[in-house]
Amino acid sequence: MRFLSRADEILLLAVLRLKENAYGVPIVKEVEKRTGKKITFGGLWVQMDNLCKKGYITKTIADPTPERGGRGKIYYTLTHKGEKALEQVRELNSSLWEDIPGSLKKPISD
Amino acid sequence: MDRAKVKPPGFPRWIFSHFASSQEKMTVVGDLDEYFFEIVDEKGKNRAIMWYWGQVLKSLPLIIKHTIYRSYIMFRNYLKISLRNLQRNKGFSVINILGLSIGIASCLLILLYVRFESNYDTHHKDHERIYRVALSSKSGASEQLYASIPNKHALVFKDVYPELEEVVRFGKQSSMQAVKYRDKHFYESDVMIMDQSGLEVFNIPFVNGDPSTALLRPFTAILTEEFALKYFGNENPIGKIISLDTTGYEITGVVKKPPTNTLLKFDMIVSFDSIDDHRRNNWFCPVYIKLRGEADVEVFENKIKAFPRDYAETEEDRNTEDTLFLQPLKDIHLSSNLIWEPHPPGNPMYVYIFMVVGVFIMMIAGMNYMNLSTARSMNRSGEVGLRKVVGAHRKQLIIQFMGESLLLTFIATVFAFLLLALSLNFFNSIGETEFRIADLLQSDIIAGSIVIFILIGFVSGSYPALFLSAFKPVSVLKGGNIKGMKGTLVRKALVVGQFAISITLIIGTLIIFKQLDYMKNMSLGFNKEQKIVVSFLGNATIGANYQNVKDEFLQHPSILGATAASNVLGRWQIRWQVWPSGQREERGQTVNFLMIDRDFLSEYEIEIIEGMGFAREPNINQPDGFLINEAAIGAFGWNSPQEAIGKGLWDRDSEIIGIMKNFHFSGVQSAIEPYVLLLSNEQFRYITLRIDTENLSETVSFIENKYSELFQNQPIDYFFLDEDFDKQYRSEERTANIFTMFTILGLFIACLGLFGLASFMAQQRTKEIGIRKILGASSNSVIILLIKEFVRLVGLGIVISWPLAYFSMSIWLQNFAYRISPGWISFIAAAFMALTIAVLTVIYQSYRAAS
Repeated sequence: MRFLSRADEILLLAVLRLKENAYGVPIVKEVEKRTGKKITFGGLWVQMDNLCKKGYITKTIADPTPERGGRGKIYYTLTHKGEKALEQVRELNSSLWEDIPGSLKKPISD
Repeated sequence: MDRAKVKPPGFPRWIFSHFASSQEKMTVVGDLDEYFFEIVDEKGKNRAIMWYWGQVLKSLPLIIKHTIYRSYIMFRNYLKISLRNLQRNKGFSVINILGLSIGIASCLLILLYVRFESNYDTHHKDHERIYRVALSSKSGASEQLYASIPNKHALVFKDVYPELEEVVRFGKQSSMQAVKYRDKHFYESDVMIMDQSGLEVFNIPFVNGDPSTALLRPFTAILTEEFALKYFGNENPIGKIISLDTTGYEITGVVKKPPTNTLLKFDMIVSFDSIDDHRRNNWFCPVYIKLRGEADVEVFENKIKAFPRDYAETEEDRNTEDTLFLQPLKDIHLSSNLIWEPHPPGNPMYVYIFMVVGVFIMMIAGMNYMNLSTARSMNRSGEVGLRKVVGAHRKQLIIQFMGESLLLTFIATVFAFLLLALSLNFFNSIGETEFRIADLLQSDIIAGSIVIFILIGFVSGSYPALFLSAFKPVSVLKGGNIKGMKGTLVRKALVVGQFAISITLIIGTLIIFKQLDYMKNMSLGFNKEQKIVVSFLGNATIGANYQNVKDEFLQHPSILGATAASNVLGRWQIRWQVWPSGQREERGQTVNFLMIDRDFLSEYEIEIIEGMGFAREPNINQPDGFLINEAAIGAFGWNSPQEAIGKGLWDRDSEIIGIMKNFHFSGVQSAIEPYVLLLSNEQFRYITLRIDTENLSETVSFIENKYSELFQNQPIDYFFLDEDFDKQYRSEERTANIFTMFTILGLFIACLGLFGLASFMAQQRTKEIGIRKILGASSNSVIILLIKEFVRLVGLGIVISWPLAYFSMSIWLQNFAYRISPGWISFIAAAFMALTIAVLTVIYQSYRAAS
């Protein structure tokens, strides 16, 4: 399995955190909160569709509500494969950053 | 904030939904709306609206790009699967593609041919404005139409009609001319004469020389490249003198050979001013005009109608009832058959026949494809079931199968072009055409093939697509055998249809050949066998010496008889105005006419039914006399042979001295027309020698030597009369050949289909066969069982084809004045052939299955 890209990782983690509330608006807000970057809703949909085709998440289309002017929502949930991918990235991260001191200016070897 | 008061901006919303309207993509709009309200709360309406715009403008391109990408991926997948399918079922695929290719190739070929025949002379610039001026002349009780008019008129036209851009005279002065340059010396039949204006009106590309002056001066000429090669080899002909009969002409240009589909064929053209004075005043030749762009053709036609009257030269001519009319250049080939027509007309009937044949072949091939794919589809029911389970919609499946069908058809079309390119030479020899590969790449042919390919792809693919996508996943995955009663019925109907068409074609071919054979061997009423005709034209005239010339040839022991005449039986006959003496107005007719010597009747064994004819021995003291055939009697208004004897013709002293039994002097396609023969001793151009066929080559050498002895430096032209006579049937022969070819193709495709189908059915029924064998049936009986089924289908095809063939052949046969009746044999033979072939095809498969 290939490693997740940074962007994938961020989105998947957002889905993980938001649990049942993982749809368009909250995801965008969460991503902005964590990274400071604003993504567009259209762009989000495209990336989520890609992730879905890769098998990391599944989509569920919910019924339209009046507040949304009669349009439905898409809820995303993490799949098993998605979970494993996140685990993998977490391990990768810790393995990469193992023993790296807090401030990078200090020499590595002790 | 009251949500009712503020609404998300409609315009960007509308833009979005215009480009991304699926339910799923619209959720994005939902998200936008939701967030929109939050921003309104936080930052106010205007910021919110700006934000909304920003989102839409940034998101849309991404979404659109993504959608396109997804579609492309899907398309690629389908392609992969389709190709893999083709690989797996190599046998089927090959058969399918081959059959379809042949069908498409045939269709394209026919398209080429139809286009060729309908586009005579369209290569000239502005050909829609070019017309031939023809003459309608009333004399006596009849109206005659002439393709040639007095050439002097052309000069007047130019002066008095401002609507004309150009006027061109283009004709042939004599059917054969002796052309000579140094030691190259031949008789040529395509030497034409034309005004310089012709070079401006007609598309005659120059290879060498100046088109604006080439035919300006008298005694100049232009040649085609091939002609120049023949006489000048590699020398540059420009400036050199070539002689025609005895006159010299300066070569002023070398041009490209005209295409085959033109009325204006030539090897060499001389300038019109070279014409001699006698001809200049009296000669009739084809005259072509080009109208100016702004001229109204109908108005002009009315004007020129009255020309003979308006511009008559004498008082009495002013009373003429002759009128002129226009014929559009392009339409002449297929629809014009006037007197003095320079070339025999094409027959639109054959164009239609071939179009029908093309459609037939296409139907066979298409049916084939449908059959084989539905058969194959049984194997794919599993795939369909699976796809449906994982969520494919019926629409997607339809698209997939339709796509496969189109892919296959596309491959078949490409292959068809290849096939055609390779076999073009072969077709050209059968059909006497001159198609080249470049013709295949014309835009309308390509457009036609695209239409064909899409049509077939869709029609053939529709059945499998609709049929397959309707499979219910559950029943399929359970592994049950899809019975599909309806499917089998359709397939059987297709096989029946294919064979019906093939058998009809076979019957048609057989009948055509039969008719052809009949025409060739029919008793003509005169004897054309064992005759060699020698031409004496141009400078090799025999004039009053004809008897001496005959005697010279008769010296040879194998030459048993000789006779002289002005023309040759079976060729285009000269027609003259003939009338009973004193009755020119009421009874004048334009009839076929021939001048003969005293030996003619006996040499050709023509039967006389009334009158004395001539004594069998030549009697030099006999005065001129006319002989007419039975058909002429009524034409001149007499009621019986006896009444006609002794009457005069042409206001001459000679009278009718004999009535001939009707004989077919110009082939058996048409009814016998009136024929008038004049016993004479002048103007003979052909001598017919009756020969003993033993030692033929020796006799021929004698003839050649004797000729050059009598006429030094003149090329000899001679031919066998029976071969020459049969040339008339060329177009029918050509049709027969083409028909045969297509029939074979059609049958081949049908058998391919049968082959594939049989093997498939055998495969399907292995279980059933196995059971039968266990229960004790022998291999043979099983084979017979399978064969019986197919035979039944072919039989049905036969039954359908018979009435169809009978009906259409009867219509075709009506074109011939003398025809066979269709007869039983062809029908039975065709049925027998089809059955045999079908059985053989199926036997092989059944045998394999049953073992």
